[in-house]
Amino acid sequence: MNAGIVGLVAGAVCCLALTSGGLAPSAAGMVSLHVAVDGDSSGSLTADDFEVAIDGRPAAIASLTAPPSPLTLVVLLDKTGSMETYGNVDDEIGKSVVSVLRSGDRMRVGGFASRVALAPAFSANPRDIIAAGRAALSFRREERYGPSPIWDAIDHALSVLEPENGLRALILVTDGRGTGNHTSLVAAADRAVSSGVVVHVLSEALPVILRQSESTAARIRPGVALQEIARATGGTILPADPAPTTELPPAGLSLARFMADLHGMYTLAIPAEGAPGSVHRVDVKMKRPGLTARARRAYRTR
Amino acid sequence: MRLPSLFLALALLPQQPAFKTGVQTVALYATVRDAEGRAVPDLTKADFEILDNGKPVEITAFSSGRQPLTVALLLDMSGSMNPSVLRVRESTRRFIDALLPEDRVRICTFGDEIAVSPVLTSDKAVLNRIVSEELWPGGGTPLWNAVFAGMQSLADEPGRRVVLALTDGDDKGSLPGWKGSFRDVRDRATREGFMLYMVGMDNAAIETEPNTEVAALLDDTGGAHFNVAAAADLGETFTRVAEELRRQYLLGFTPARDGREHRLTVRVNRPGLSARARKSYTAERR
Repeated sequence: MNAGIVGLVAGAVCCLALTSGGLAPSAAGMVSLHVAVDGDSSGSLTADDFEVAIDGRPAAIASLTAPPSPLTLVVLLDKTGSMETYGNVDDEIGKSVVSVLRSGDRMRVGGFASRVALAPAFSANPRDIIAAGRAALSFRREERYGPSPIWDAIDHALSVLEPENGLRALILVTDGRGTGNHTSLVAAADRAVSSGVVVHVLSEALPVILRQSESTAARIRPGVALQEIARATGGTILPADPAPTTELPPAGLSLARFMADLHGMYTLAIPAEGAPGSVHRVDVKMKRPGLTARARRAYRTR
Repeated sequence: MRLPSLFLALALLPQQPAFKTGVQTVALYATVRDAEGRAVPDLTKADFEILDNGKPVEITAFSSGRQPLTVALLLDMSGSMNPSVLRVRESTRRFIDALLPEDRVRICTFGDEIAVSPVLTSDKAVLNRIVSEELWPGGGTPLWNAVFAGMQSLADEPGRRVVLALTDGDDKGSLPGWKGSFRDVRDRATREGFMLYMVGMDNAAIETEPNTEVAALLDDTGGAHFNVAAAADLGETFTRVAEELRRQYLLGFTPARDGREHRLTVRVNRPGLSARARKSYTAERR
């Protein structure tokens, strides 16, 4: 929100990169890396196309699973009053997310205003998903003008995703102005990276500069923490263009891009290194020119 | 703390008089200052007199020791506070630094929304974390809505309950879901014994001239207001508020049981000293 907080967030993310990580549920002794490859539309890359380094040293790829992998997804909407400029995102979930689910995919919808609410269970049935989602998103009007517990909501969403197997993702739509949280930003970010869940975020990117005196200014950028969480988990934040506009891209378009990204992810398995609890930096690169890999940046050995 | 067992007994009771069983006690927290406005320590029970509807009552409880605070700290984040965001943040940290280990604080902000933190804690690291992560400027000034929410957030807490609001403007209406008004704030504060304090930013915060409605309310609750000039140190003002709260005397008396509102007066029987404490209570019906 301002220069100091930007510093805090940067520190927190730095801390994440160095001290956190995670291990998705996978075969014993193996770590799953879900990798999005920009520039690839074939879905037919092989293990030889990837380079994985753990703590800067090359790592062997034990197996590769080509996309699409069955997806377990939570879509979480900020329903506070300040989100009114985002339009009716509820309807866009049906059009841009539920309608493109594939065989094996399951999801549930949730939201937060002065409280956090999630649909009671994951489902593959579009009607059930939408009906349960509508119920979960039915906040009273006064609830929308209370706190915005973003970090609590992320924490709650991760708690239902962590027991699931395979590719797990959280799509979060929020203005990033978190208030009234039990969970700290750092704790939520740490859990996000540790869980191995891919976090995509639709949020504002426009910083606001508030002059404080002749020589000082506060830089307000609510999306910066979310941006770092998304990047650290192998996800993205939209709008990606920090151009000075207050217009958000249509929510449906962004949601569709997130779904295409998740359905195009390769899953690499690598042997876990180090003692249980140890944290390891992950770098994934592509050997072919024109292709760029995006994946989680760390894991913690179980 | 000179009378730990007595203090403990009082601290466990809400300030409102509606105790259901046993001997009832109304607790008063009195600020005593000399003619120069300095806080006066080391007074004894014999220095005080409590008048209930003008008649002296026996002081059944007394402590000059430090009593823990329970504070809802309300920070105005309306758009007009934009030029002061960093100042507010740093000053709030100074207020937190000035707290004693047993004090507890809940941080709340108001503007676009009224965000009452679910965390009421004496953990300074947690409070500083909230200050770092949860101050977002923007919106109007739903001042009374926020003060009411602050009181609500402390409704079940024992002991001295303080709502301290930092604001730079008059109330500009409430948010959806609250149809109350200044009158509701006044009624609840006086009925339930909340102490209300306000810090006015840049001398434009509240109507702080004597005899205005707001100043009268703060006075009635035993609280006070402080004005901060644009160039002045807000942190210093926050520290003064913390210091005042720390130096208050705890007085207790047995209330009437007639179901009526009673006017209270606290006097100090020493020349040149004045006491400030809540000015009314509502008695439970027999």
